Amino acid sequence: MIKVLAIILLALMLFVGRDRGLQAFLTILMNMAILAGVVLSIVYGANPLIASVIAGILLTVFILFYQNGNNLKTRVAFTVILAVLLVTFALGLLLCRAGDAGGYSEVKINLDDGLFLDGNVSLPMQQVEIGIILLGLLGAVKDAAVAVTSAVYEVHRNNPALLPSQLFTSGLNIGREILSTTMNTLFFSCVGESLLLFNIVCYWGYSFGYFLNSKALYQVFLFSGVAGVGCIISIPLAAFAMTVVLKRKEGRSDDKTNGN
Amino acid sequence: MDQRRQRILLAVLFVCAVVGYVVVDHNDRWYTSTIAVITDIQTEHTETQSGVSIGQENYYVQTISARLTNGARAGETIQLLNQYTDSGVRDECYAVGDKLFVAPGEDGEIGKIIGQKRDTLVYLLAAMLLLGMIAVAGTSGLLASLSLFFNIVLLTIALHCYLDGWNIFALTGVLILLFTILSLLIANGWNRCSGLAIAVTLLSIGMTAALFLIVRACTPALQYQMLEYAVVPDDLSALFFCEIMVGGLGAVMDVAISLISTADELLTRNPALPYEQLRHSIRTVSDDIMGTMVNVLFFTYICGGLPEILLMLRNQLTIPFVWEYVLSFELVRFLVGSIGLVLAVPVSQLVLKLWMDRRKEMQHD
Repeated sequence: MIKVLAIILLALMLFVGRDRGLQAFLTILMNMAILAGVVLSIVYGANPLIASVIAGILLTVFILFYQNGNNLKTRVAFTVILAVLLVTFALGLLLCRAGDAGGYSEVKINLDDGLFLDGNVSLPMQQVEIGIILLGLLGAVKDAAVAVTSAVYEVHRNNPALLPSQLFTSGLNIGREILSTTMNTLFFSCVGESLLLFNIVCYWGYSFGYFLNSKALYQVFLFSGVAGVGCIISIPLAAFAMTVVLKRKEGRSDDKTNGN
Repeated sequence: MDQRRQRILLAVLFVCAVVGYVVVDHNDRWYTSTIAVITDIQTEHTETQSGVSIGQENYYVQTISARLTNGARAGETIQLLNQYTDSGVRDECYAVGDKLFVAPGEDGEIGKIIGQKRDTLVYLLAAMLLLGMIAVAGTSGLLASLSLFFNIVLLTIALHCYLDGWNIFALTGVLILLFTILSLLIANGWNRCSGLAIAVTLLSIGMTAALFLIVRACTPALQYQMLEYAVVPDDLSALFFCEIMVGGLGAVMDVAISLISTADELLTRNPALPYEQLRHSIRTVSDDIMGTMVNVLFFTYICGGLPEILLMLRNQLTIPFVWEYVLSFELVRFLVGSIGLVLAVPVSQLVLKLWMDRRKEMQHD
């Protein structure tokens, strides 16, 4: 089934995007190879946090510079993504610790899911959770950062006389559209992935209070919620960084952009 | 002026959020289950077992003193025991200040821990998302959160309908229809742009569904009983179908609205724009977003399955096993979603062409 679907996807991508489609497909293969590397290195004893941080940086470098080329826009976007990764890493760490988000949720334990698996894996599941939160938001954050930096760049190129604050605002305007559609995408992929969970919760008649406080909901919400937060902060950050870089490059003295 | 109003609104919302936080943090009396806050923890290392494949697993027991915060015995201090491991696959390591749902023992007996209270954290993240969206995107952020809220309500209703015995395929169809119409209308208002985007989304999802069902009929079945959170009496293959269709919907909508609004803007600026030129512009936009959207889907789907995969591999299960029982589901989700969003590109072109032809005919009449 997977092979057939993959071939259909490849054919469609080639048909719709030709060389760009092929490039997108190759990017996916590359992502898979890097993720496989992460999984294997963790299985053979690497620290999950360190492994996922390194993989996150590597993936950003590959996807960004392979898909969008090496230029001023992507270099700024890269810095922004790294900054966002840092912030979301701290946020993920805090929230995972505070809510003990690692390991099997109570719903899974009640279901006897994975009963045949031994718990003595000597692998801190909380760190794994933080790692996957970090990797899971890469796509969305990269999408937002690149869209905003290239929009600001285009606006500047077409109209070099614009003030820094105007440039920043035009970046935010583009970000606005990206944000609501990305939130939509994240929401539906999150719902799509946890439909069975919601089904069980209704089926067994868990109370609202129980579900609200459950680890199962917390894991799902944390995964998409932190991605959403990363996306949100990347937009003003990207608009700001690109404006500063462009104005500084112009050699103007008034590059002290006010970030309103 | 407008910016000032937005700032005032934000400040008001921020104050509301802080007040809400205090309320949620002190809502213990709203729960009927007994809640206790941890005041002191003594941790003791009890044993060390060897890991399944590599390393060692340390076991600890926490002797917890906690103060009851609701119910008739509020204020009383109780004792709890909690065992945890380094890995924490089926257990948690609690910290001072955590709130727990407990079944307290009578007369100084040791009580039982039922679960952790996480509503404050859920609230915190939700408030952060809402405030951030409104701060960055203003009105459209507000609308986006509104449409998320309605979609959640819709989903809840649909789940109850499913448990009442509705046909899953019919329900999925209705659900997708309503999700699409609701999200696009709330985000864009009622105009030709939304109408076309709705048409594109529904057509693309329909084609994707047909394609998936054909492929599913022609290839060996997946091991559905290994799906996460599977319950036996359900028709799991149908539920999985519903899952992947809803999961890909967001991405398809995203592509549809981006392409249609670009075309709409070009047509507004130059109503006499020939179709060929329009198609070319759409190609440029679609080339840019196709790759990134596929990436977004890839990371959100594949990363979700990683913890289970790691657990299995550490349990010395083979890679083919993991592939068949975990990874294949995530990959199918990802592939079907991506097929949907790539299909949305030619479908948009088709819909635009049909619509422009019709408009031309109407002008000729």
